[in-house]
This record gives sequence, structure tokens and C-alpha cells, in this order.
Amino acid sequence: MMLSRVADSFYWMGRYTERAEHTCRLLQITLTAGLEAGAQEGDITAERSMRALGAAPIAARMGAVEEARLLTFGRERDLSSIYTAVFAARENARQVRDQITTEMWERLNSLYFRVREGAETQNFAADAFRFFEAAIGDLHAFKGIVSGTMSHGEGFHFLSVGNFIERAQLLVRLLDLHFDEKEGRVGDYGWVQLLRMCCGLEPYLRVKTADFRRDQIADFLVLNDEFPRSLRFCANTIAFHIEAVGALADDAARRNCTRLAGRLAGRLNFALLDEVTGKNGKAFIAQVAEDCMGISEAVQAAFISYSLAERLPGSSFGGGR
Amino acid sequence: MAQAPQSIMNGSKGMRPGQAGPFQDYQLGTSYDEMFDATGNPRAGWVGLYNRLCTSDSKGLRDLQANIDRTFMAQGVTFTVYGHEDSTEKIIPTDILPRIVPAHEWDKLERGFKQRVEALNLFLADIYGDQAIINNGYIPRDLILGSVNYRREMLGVEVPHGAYVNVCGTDVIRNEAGDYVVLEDNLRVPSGVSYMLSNRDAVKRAFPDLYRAARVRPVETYPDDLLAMLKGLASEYQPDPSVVVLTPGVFNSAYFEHAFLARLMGTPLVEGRDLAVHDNVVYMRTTSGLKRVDVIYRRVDDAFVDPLAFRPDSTLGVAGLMNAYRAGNVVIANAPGAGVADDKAVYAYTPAIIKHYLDQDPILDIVETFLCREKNQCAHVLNNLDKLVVKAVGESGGYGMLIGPHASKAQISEFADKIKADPANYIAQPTISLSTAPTFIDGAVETRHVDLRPFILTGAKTTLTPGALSRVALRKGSLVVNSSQGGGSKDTWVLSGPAQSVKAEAGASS
Repeated sequence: MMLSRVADSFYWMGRYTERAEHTCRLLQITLTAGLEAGAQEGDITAERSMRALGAAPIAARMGAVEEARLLTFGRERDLSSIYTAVFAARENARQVRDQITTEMWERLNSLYFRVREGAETQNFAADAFRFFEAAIGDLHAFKGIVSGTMSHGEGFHFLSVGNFIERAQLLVRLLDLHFDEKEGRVGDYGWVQLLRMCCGLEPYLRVKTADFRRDQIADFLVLNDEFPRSLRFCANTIAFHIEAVGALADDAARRNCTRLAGRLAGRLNFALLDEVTGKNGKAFIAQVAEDCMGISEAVQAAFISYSLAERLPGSSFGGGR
Repeated sequence: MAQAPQSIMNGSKGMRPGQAGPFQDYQLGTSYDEMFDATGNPRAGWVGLYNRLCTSDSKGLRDLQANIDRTFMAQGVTFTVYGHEDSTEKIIPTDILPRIVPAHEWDKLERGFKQRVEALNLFLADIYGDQAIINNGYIPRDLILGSVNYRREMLGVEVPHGAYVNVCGTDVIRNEAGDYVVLEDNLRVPSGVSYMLSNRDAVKRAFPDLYRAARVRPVETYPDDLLAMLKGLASEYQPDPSVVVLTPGVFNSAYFEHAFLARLMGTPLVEGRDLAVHDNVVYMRTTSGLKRVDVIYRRVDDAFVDPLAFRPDSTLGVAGLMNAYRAGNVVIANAPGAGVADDKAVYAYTPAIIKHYLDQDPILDIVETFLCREKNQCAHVLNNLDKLVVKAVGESGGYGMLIGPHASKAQISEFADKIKADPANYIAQPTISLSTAPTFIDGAVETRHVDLRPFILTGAKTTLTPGALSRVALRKGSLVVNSSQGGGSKDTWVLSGPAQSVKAEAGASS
């Protein structure tokens, strides 16, 4: 049992930390790819990566380095920058400061100060790599601290659901951008960069060797059941955590959550390779995106913003026990 | 005790206030100094710290101070400054040097506070009950019933154990003679206890040996005592009452403290929007449905707790809470309406209140107070504005004040007009100098003015944690200790046994 508002904060803490990490990694790749002298591929990758972050095509904007800087330190509320993600994660942590461990708070707080201080840099292009590395390190450490210091109870489950829904949705966006392209246009270089964006190059090489083809990549990023950033892995993790919070449940709204999460997991556990590659790939990915949205909404309806009337004593759902 | 420095034995120069050495910038004024007596000798209880300062170099202390600041920032021991758009979180500067209260002084303070809180609770029970003290003419009727903090909704409400003021933070200062004097009572939502606890943690780590040798009484049990007190408020009808802390939210300046207490008590930290009232029962919205709430430790002002009873525009409270409270289905601590007794005008009557209800003389004095509502006293105030401190009755936090001796002619005449326009809203007191204590400022030990706020818990019984928040005015010469006005804080060590004098310690070490 925990306050609905607290569950909501945990959920968003999970989402925003994942988003911050993803943004760090993509910006890192944008800046590295842009370095490749004369390589058109590098520019394409940089542009694709910026598009995945929701930025308009670079050419029309301010130049890669300036834009990356904005997406790192920009503080405008509607901007999806590292700063805004870290700030939002920390605000959610502050909301539930009494529920999280001091270790979690201190790590998130020090990351926040790192981003604030980083914004003072005079030479972003030179300092950026060290900054991204340190920030990603903080975020990895945060996840380790969460797992290692916090009780694996309800709060942990909500945090994990947020974490993996965000991860799945971000991956869907990346896959969608890449599957849109004609096979040849992505090329070895592009596929390698995609794997890097998912932090998956090394694990991929281990199973697939240095053979970069769309169907192999799809097989790995969508259907692999061991790689912690594949869609299938995300879906199973979401289902596990939703099952854990929903197990206490006996009402329809919760059963709805478990069903939706189970259905997504089932979809990915039993998909055929054909269904996720080629022409079918895009539709399949779109379906996964829709399922993620559905789960997200169902969780809100079941645990967080339910109507008071149906939970009052005397209503069919009971309450006050 | 380690060997006492030679200087104490032979009185050599350099270890005395104002002389070359660690206390070069330490200026004894007319105020009572906590550490040194008028001749420049360290007082009993302070000898350990004195010796330590005599042998420490400025860099070592600087490092310790920097360490404390860093720890507080990392832990987020912050308060919010209103009006700063971007960087809203500040740490309240914590001075590294503890303020020391010898056992015999604390003993008197403890008796004084308990007496005071007991009398104030009886007073509140009376004015929200039979109103005998008003009907007998001891206190003017309009002073009570006309107060903005008087809550008619509380008339006839039965409060558990008759305890209206469950958490009390009473500010005391020391006058020139060294007597502790009550400056004001905080009976609504007193804050600062998280600093009492955090400061202790930090300073204990900075001076472990000194702390051990001084035999300081522990403060760590405060959260346990608070929870036990809160549960005790509902124990008559609930075997295991569910307690929550009600906060206005993260934007409140004391949010850190609300979260801190909730965490240490293991109770949910709720906001108004987490609660709902149905059939006069309070519920909180949880992931497994609505759960009943029995005791609310509220850190939201009276006026905001229930939009149906008080301010209709409040979004921080819970609609219907007062009805649930009156129905006896939930306990609110502190009780709404308790603030009427910490009114600055009622303050002037507190010695009479103690006398009336307990038939005892007050153990702790108050500051002489002139009520502008009384014609002859008002005339006296208007004639002596340049010597007095004038305070608006309804204001707190150091706002709405005139400090006569430091005010310009224009300010004084402006204030005189305000007083004439609304005399009942003002009281005046002679300027009193707060005591000074050693404070680490920019690498040197200097004197700064301090006050003392201990925390008194009242439920079935009254308990006083042996410790306090000592607030310190960090600006040189300033008497304003409020954190919103550039104040800092100090750890406060209440000693457990009789303090050793300089001679005794020096003798023991030879």
C-alpha cells in the first residue's frame, strides 16, 4: 500500500532517468558521428539521432554542436533536454524524499549539480564527452543503487515499470526511424551506430558476429530475450512488475493492467521473425508503441487517478480496509 | 580532558578575546557572552571547546566548515527562498561551533517550558470552552475573540488529553544579565527541528572527541517521541492509529523538514490532494484503494486546512476535514486555533495566564511588553519610538517590525502613523540585546547574536528533547536571527552533568 501520488512519482522518476540516459547517449553519438571527416554517413547518423530526440533537421537549425548543447543544458520547460529530464527526475524524487533511500537521493542530487555546473562550460565541444560519460555513469550508478538499497516493494515496481516503458518507447522510436530507411541507406555504419544508441553493440557481436543486416538487427533488438534493452526483454520486465503490484488486486482495473502487459509480452515472446522484418516490421513496431501507451494509461487508471466514488466504502470495490 | 594550554594557567596574552591569537576578532560587548565571562575567562562547560579553539588552526576549521556545507547540500537539507526564480534552494548556514547549555541552566529551562505549555493548553481549553478567563475580566474579550487566529469552529470541540499545542517551539533569548527570557511562543506549525537533528549529526562528526568528553545529552529520539505522542492522541479508539504528515508540498520552504520527519517516523507524507473525506471519515488515496487516516500531523496553516471551514481558495487542505475532526473521527495536531495563544498581544498576558491556571509564579520571565491597545501604554510607546522595538501583532518571521534605535526619522514617523491608525495591531518592547556566542566567520572566531528554540511535545504527557535549534544572526551586530533574513543555525549541546570549571580541569590535567 502506498499513496497514489507517491506511486506516480516513482513511475516518473523511472521514466525520466531512462530518458536522461538515452539523451546522453544519443548526443554522444551525434557529436562523435559528426567528427567523421567527409563521411556523409556520419552526418546522416547525426541527423537521425537528432530526429530521434525530437529535434528538427540540423541543416535548418543552429549547427550540431550548438544544438547538442541546447539539448544538454537547455532549461525551457517544453524542451526534452538532459537538464529537464534530470530536473524532473529529481523533482519526483523530492516529492517522495521520505520514501527513497538517502543513497538514491544523493546520487540523483549530485547528478543534478553536475548538469548545472556543466552548463558553465566555455568549451562544450571539448568537455562534452567527459560530461556525457560522467552523467551516464551517474545514471548507471543510480539504477544500481535503486536495486541495491531500496526494498523491492511497490515503489520499486512502479519505478521499474516507468523505466522499462520509457525504454521500450524510446527504442520503438529509433527502430521506426531506421526501418523507414531503405536498407542500403543505413549501411554497416548506420546499423553499428543504432546498436551503439541502444548500448547494444558488444552484446550484439557476441550473438550475431560483425554481420550487420536489418533482419539480424531486428531479431536482436526486438526479439532477443536476454539483452536488457530489447523490446522483448522490456515487455517481460514490465509484465513482471505489473504482475507484482497487481497481485494484491482484485478489481477490474488492475486485471486490465496485467492483461495488457501480458498481451504485449506474449506478442513479443511468440512473434515470428517474418513479422518483425521487412514490410511487416513497421506495423509490428507501431503495435508495440500502442500497447505501451495502453499499459501506461491503464496503470494510471488502476492505481493513480481512479475515481473516488468507486472506491468508497459501500461501493462494489470496497475500500477502507 | 587533555592537557590544558599553558595560557589558562598563567593567563598569558593571546588566548583572550580581543588579543592576538584565535580570539583576536572576538569582541565582547555589553551583551551576555555565552563563552566568556566579563573578565575574559571561559565559562564552565565551554572549556573543552575553548581549549580546542586555542590549539586549532584556521585552515583545519575551514575544512571542517566546508565539509558541513557540502554534506548539507548533498543531503538536500535546504529551505526555499521565495522570490528566487531559478535557484530556490538554499542551505541554512550551519555554524561549526556548537552552542553549549550547562545542565543546571537546562534544568530551569525545562521546568519553565513545561509550566508554560501546560498553562497555555489550559488557557486554550478555557477560551474554546467556558471562557472563564474572559468572563472574569482577566483578559479583554475582543483581544481573544477578535484575533485573526481565533477559530470559532473549535468552540466546544473535545481535544484529546486537552492538548491543543502538541508541538511547541518557544523562542528564548538571554538578556544582559544572562537570564533566559521568553521572546515568543510558536504554537501553530513551529519548524526547525530537522536542523536540530541534522546539525547534531554534522557537528558530532566534526568534533567527535570533544563531543564524547563533553557528555552531551542525545537528541536522536525526537522522531520516535513525536510518533509516540501522535499515536497517543488517537489511542483511545484505535489500537494502532494510522498517522500521516500533511505538507503543503515541495514548494513550501520547510518541505525538507516535512519529508525528513515523515521518513524518520515511517509515516506517509501526504498533501491535501491525497486525502478525501467521506461521511466524516478521512481517507488517503493509495494504490490499493482508500485507507483511513486517524491522526494528521499537519504542517499546513490553520487557514488552509479545510476550504469549507476556512479559506475557500485553499488548495492545500481537505474539504470536510474540520467536520471529520469535530465528529471525533480524526485528530489534527496542532489543534486548529492554537495560534490564538501565541499572538504577540496575548504574550503580554502569559505571566498572568500561568498564575491564573496553575497558581504558580512563572519560572521564565517574558520581555516587558507595552500594548498599544491600552491608551496610556500607547502614549508611552509613541513618545519612545526611537528606543523601542515595535511589532505588528499578526506578523511573524521578522516582518512588519520597527527597530527604533536603528530606524531613520522618516521610518519612525511612518510607523507612528500606522500605530495611530490601528493601535490594537501593535505591541512594543524595549530593545534587548541577545546573547553572543562564538561563531566561525571567514576563518576567524567572532561573536554573533543567538537565540534558542527547543521543541516541546505534549500529548498524554509533556516531553522536552534535551537540545534545541540555536539560531544565529550571521551579520555582524545584527539581532535578527530568522532564516528568511540571513540567519544561520548552530548545534546546541545540552550537557548531562555538572560542568567542570577552568580551575578543576586545569588541576586535573596537571
